[in-house]
Amino acid sequence: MKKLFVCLVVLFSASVLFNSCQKEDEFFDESLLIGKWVSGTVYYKYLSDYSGKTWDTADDVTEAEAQSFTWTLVKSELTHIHILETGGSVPKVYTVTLLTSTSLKYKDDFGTSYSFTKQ
Amino acid sequence: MQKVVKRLAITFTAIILLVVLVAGIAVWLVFTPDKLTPIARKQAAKYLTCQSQIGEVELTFFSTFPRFGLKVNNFMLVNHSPGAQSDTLVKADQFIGIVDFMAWWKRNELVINELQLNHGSLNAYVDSLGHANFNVMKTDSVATTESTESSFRFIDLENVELKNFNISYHDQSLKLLTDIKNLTAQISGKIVTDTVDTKMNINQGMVSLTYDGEHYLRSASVKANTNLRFVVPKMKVEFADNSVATVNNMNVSFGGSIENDSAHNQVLFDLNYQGKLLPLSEILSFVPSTYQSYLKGVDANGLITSEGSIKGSYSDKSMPLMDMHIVLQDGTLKYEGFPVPLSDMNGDLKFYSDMTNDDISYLQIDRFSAKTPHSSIQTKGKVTHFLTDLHCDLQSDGDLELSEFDPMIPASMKTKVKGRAAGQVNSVFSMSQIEKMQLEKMQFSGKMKLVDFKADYDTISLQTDRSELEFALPNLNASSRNKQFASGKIATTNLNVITAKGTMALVKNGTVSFETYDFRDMKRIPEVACTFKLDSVSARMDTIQLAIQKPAGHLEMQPIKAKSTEPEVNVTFDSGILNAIAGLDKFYCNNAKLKAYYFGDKLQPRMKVQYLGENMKMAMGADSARMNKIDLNADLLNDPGQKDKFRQWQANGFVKVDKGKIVMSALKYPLEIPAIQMDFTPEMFNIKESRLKIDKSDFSLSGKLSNILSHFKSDSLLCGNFDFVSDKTDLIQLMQLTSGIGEKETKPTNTTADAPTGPYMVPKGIDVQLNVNVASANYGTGTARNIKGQLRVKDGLLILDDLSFVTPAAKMRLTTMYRTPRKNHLFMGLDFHMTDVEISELLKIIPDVDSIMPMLRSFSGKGEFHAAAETYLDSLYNPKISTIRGAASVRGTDLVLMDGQTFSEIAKTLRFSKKTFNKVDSLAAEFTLFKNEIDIYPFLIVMDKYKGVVAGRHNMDMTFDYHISVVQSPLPFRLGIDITGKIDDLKYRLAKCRYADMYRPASRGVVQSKQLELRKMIRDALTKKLTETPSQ
Repeated sequence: MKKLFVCLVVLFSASVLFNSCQKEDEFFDESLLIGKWVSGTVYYKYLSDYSGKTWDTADDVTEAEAQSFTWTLVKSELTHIHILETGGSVPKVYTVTLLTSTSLKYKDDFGTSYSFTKQ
Repeated sequence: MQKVVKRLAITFTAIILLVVLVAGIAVWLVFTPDKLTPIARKQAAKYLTCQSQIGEVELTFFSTFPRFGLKVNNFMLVNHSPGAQSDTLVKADQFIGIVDFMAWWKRNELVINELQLNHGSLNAYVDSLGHANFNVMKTDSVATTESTESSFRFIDLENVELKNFNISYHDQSLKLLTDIKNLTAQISGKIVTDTVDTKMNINQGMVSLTYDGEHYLRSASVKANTNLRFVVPKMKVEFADNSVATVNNMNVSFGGSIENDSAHNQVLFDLNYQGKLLPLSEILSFVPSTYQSYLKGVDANGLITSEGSIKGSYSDKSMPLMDMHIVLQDGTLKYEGFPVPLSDMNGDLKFYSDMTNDDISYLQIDRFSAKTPHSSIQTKGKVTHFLTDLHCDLQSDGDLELSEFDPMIPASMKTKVKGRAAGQVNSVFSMSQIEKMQLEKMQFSGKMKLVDFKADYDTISLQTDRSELEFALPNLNASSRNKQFASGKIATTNLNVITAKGTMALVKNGTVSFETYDFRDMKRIPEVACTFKLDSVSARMDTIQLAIQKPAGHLEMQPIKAKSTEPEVNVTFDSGILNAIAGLDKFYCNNAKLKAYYFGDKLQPRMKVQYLGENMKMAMGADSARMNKIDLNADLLNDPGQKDKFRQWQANGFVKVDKGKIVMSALKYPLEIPAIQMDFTPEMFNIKESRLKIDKSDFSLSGKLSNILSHFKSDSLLCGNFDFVSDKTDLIQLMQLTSGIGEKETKPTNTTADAPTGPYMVPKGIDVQLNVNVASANYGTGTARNIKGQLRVKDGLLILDDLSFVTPAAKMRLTTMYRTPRKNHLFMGLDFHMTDVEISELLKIIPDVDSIMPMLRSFSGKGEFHAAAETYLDSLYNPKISTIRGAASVRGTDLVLMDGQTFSEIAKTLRFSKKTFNKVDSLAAEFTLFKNEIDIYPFLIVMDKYKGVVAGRHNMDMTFDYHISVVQSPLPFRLGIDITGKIDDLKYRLAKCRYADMYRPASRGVVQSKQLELRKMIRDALTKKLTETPSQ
């Protein structure tokens, strides 16, 4: 019984420890996103109609051959939905951490960060 | 009786002695030369106007017994005349005249019983005005009208003998020069008023005759025996019909008259003649020197027998009419311009001409034959108009050894001939027609047989063992009016043409016949018909060889009606075996039949072709084709508006191929064609039947290929819609077959199927759809059955659209897209659905799924799998990581969780009860693939009393970042576990349960709701096609 109590205390403590306050979401101006962003050889181009293109010149892909996606920016949540030609879609959700007229930084839920500069 | 005789003899002797005595007294005592000579001189001066010289005159009796005669020695008359050949008119060492004094005394007739002129000369001359130097008789002063007439009414010359006498007669008015040397003749005659009748016997005389500067006789030995009448006023000589003359040992009998019509400045002939066996060489020697040049180098012999007449006037404007019959016997001819001597020349000719009037002139050759050492020729016919435009109508036969005539061919022609040519040629032509090549006016026909014939022209050699040639110009047996110009027929046992460069053509046992319109008429298309039938023909040129057995055919060409410059051609051609080789390329065909029609209208030419070939074999280098039968029927219409000549012809028709086989170096396997039947138009191929077999694949293709002409014009895509039905298909082989079609990049020439140098490039410029129905197909890693769907190739894009098929693992529906914008940028997309799939088989079918969802290898059992993915590939088919996109959805129930190391670690960490571990009630998961990231959206997995939510990410390098939330278990609390690290070194760590409320809608957070929305979006997008078009 004592052991069971100890366990419950531990679990409660753990649950208290593992629950933290939700951070207030930041808001970013989506108009700043419009344009061509580059990170090394990777390019993203956001258009005002919420469509975009991405390409990587390291893979011998030109802008004309870029792949399309749609995008939304809600507060700090940046969602890319890549539309497959044969059907199907691939959503990618990021959290924007910095968006200025020249810099864009975001990260995903797995801690991978991306940093772009505007061209 | 004896007494009577004795008395008569005594009486006769007494008379003779008395006569002799009287004569002796007269000769030696009364009429001595001293008495007679002055009398003669006196009389000469009395009658002659010219100077005379009389040496001695004596009376003769015994030498002129039984008559008295006058013998004059050294007689000479001299009469100077300007231009004359000599002042001496007459000169004689001696002449003896016997004159009938009684006639002279009683009847005033001069009767010269005998006149002998020895060793003398007569130089008669007439100047251009007609003044004669022999006009030396004094005229009677009393006479008023006939001053030139002799004072004797009758002169009788009973016997005039000339011995060794020279006569020269030069008549400038007639331009006639006659010289007779050493003349010995007997002449008798009478002169009655103006007519002289003589009998002339010329025993000897060397005659030279020159007329108008032309020498006709040069010291010709002449003998003559004739009775002639000379009518002085008319200057007419009439010869008796039995007159005979011998000139240079040539005997000619003649008769008739010659008259000098000075009033009209002409000479009238009316002569007939006959000569037998006259030496031709002697006759030719009479040819005037002016014309001797024509005979230069001619050595002609033979005997001429001739008869005829010469009638008519001779003047500057006219010639007498000659009607001559000439027979040549045993003639020979050598001519330095003629390569072979002629012998056995025999002929029978008739010459009829006045040499001025062409209308009546002709040479009739009744027969003429001649031989060379190895040849013979015969001819007959008629030659007319030889004064203006020689016209020949000849029928000739010949048997010629051509090598004899080879030297006659000008060197400039570079031609040599040998062999025998025998045959007959009929010809009607004129020289002007020959010169102007007026073939339409000439007639040539005949037959010619060539034996062992060989002709070399420059570097070309033609030879035949035996050939027969027939020709006709014009063609009297023409099949139509416009083929009357010429016809010909050649029959040969063999005909061989060889050139120095090795080009050769050989024809065996063939006949070729033709008839034609005048092909020289450039204003219209000639009508031509040609028929040929040969046993065989073979030809070789460079590396090209052709051999045809039993070729036969007919060609007919004619102008289009009312369009004379535009041709209409009909051709039929049949052959047995046809064999052609060009370098490494070969063609073989048995029983080829061709019918072709060409309508050469300038505005709209068209053709019609029918071809039927059997057992056809072709080889081009390493490529080859074989067809048991090909049947082609095509109408071709020309569109002159097209610039490209090939595109100008638009074809309508059909082709039928039976049992074909094509082997191409570019194809690893031969293409077998059991049958093809196709209709075609310029825009469309309608394949009614097309059965093909490639290695293990066999299929039939039927359907339509359209926009063909528009495609070549670059106006539109080449479109096709075919039903592709197959029992067995090897997809990999088919892709290899069509790889690279339409690409403009240059490929290395040593490309082989075994060593591909680039990726498969989808053909461009075409839009072809295959409605596939394949019973069994090999796709490399397995075999699919009952494949139905559509395969479409459209301008560089290949789509397998909603292809349903069955593999050992599952029923599948597949849509793939393969696009090849460039070699190093290839698009590959697929939409893949498998229902009732064994998960382990799924990993075998698509090994890449193991990389995307490695946890699937831990499950066993059946489920459903939906996936869509796309990426660009480089030229080696390596995915370009930055372009990878994909989404997948997996559903499964009653799965078995395999006991693996990873699961053991998880179970151990989460304190699972092992006995319940391996049963998974349900599984529903969605995955996405982006670049090298595989995101697993939170999904619920139910195992017995446990429910867990699994989510996370792993990368292509097999590094993991996963989380499992145990949301329901026998435990009173919820646990989570993070799994991180590389697959061979995973770290398991307890963590917060992230998805405790994921499947509790009431308490689900915003983020979790968003994730579920994304999952739904992914799945809906993946399964959308299934709901729209249920599986067949």
